[in-house]
Amino acid sequence: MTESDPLCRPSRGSSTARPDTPRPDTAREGTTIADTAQPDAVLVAASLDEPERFAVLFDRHAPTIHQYVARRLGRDAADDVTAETFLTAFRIRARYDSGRAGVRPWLHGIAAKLISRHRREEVKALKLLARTGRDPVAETWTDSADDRVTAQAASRPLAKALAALSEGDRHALLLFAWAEFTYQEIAEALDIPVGTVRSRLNRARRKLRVTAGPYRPFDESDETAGDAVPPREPHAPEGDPA
Amino acid sequence: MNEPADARALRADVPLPDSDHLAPQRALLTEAFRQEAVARSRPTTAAVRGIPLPRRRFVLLTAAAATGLVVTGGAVVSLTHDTPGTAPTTSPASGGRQLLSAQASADTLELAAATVEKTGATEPGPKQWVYEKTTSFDQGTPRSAEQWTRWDGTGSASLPGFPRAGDTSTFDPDKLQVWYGPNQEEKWKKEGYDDRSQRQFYRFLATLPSDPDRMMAAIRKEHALGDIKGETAAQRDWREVDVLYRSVLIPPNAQAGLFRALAKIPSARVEKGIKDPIGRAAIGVTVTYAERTASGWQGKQELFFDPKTYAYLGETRHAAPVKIPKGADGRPYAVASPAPGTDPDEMTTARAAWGVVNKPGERP
Repeated sequence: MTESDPLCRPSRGSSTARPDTPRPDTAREGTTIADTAQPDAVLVAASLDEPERFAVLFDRHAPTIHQYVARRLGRDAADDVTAETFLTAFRIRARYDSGRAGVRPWLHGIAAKLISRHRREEVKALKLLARTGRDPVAETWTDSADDRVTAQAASRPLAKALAALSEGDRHALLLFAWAEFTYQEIAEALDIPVGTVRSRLNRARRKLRVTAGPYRPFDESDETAGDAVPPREPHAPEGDPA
Repeated sequence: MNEPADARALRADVPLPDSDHLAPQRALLTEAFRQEAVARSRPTTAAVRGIPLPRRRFVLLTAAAATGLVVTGGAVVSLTHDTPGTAPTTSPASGGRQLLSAQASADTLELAAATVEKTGATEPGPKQWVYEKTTSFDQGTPRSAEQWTRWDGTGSASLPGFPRAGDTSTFDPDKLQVWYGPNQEEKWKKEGYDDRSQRQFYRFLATLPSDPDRMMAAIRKEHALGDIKGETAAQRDWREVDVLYRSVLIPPNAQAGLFRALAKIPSARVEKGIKDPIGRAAIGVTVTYAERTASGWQGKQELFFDPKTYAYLGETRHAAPVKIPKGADGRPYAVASPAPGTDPDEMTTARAAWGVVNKPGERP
């Protein structure tokens, strides 16, 4: 296309940080120590008058948003989606409801819409992984494709099953399994009732069993596992609405 | 599957990006803060610098979202829903503005197709650069950005520039920095890599059949846009055509085919006697979605063309209002009013200048 930019960012060294590694807030350029201790909702509200205070939300959530998107689409797409997610969130921040459980589901909801625009690429990569054992998504953060073929061999049936899911079911499943969202957080992110989250996850689990064989995509107590995941700071604890 | 066969194991080694990796994204956000501050303090500022989003492999698919970052104020002119075969109608409230009937619209688009079909075209050399100056609007304030892209896909440059990964302490957005990368056409041959060089895409378009139905079918098959569940064929065709017009250079046969494809979209109408987003005389081709489409658009969508050469001049689109999830207790969320005279869901861009030059930094 016209605006092709052939310049891919050089791949980074492989950080080993876990998705759920808590990141201590530190004051960065344009932020204050006081802000880094503020709850998300306070910062969203404050940013209406002082836009730069939104930067703390970026520092707090961009790494995990990027990591999640990279896991679905690869790091290059994650660079773009992360930027768009925060620019969109900044643009529509006046509509943020401070009664929500936290900013993270809101941001993931925006990111999910952007991820959906890459649905074709995501499914194509999953099918390639299922068919050949080669994972073009994982290759965006590792240079050793040969190692990956071996390491990911066990993932091929799972990739096939994920590729066969509907986009909505895949969002629900991967927010649960990869972003470690509770049912309520998934409901907020995807703007669907909690009951729908449960039915989507049940359906996804059934399809994965059929396609990928007998295995456990969730813990045995998956019906409650999502709600049992402790919310990460700075999210306010929430009850189980289910 | 083998134990532990768990969805959590798939791609579990995905790294958490460090602050250096996220520096360009943070810089974009910081720029948005600055833009908003400037817009507040000087609402009539003539030109405020804008920074384009990083553009890489998914540029086609992210284009719609990227333009979602620019917002403009402006009146929305309601379309008159006429019926095929009726005479051209004139909108009473807009002076020389004419909204044509379906038949007159089709005739106008056929004239446009026949005109561009006769236009000669020479493909640039591999080392030449395509230049494009884009003006977009942020809360009614225009922002311009210039882009140079090498025809063979091996280089790009933009003004203002945007910081790449790494040390950004000495970064100057007003200094032209040319980026050269690996051969994109070679990369494109790899499975899973979707983007093409401008040359590749131009040559693909040049092979398309002239019949609009067959052309659109071929584009749907080859183009990188994904299907969206629930989208009608007409909506999909409009979206596809809209994105294709982001190509600065389109071979004459494909330009003609695009006008004929627009003529076949049932609700598309031509508006004459209008101005494009930066005040140039124009004709418009519009569709209006009464309800939210599956792809997230609602309201009037319009493409602008030069009334004589039928060159693409820009577009105005309306996104459907963003649906933000409600609070945990189901209470409706508070919605703040947009700034006076602005429509937060309107996105307007204009192609202010374009051409082919011999080196980055040159202007036609």
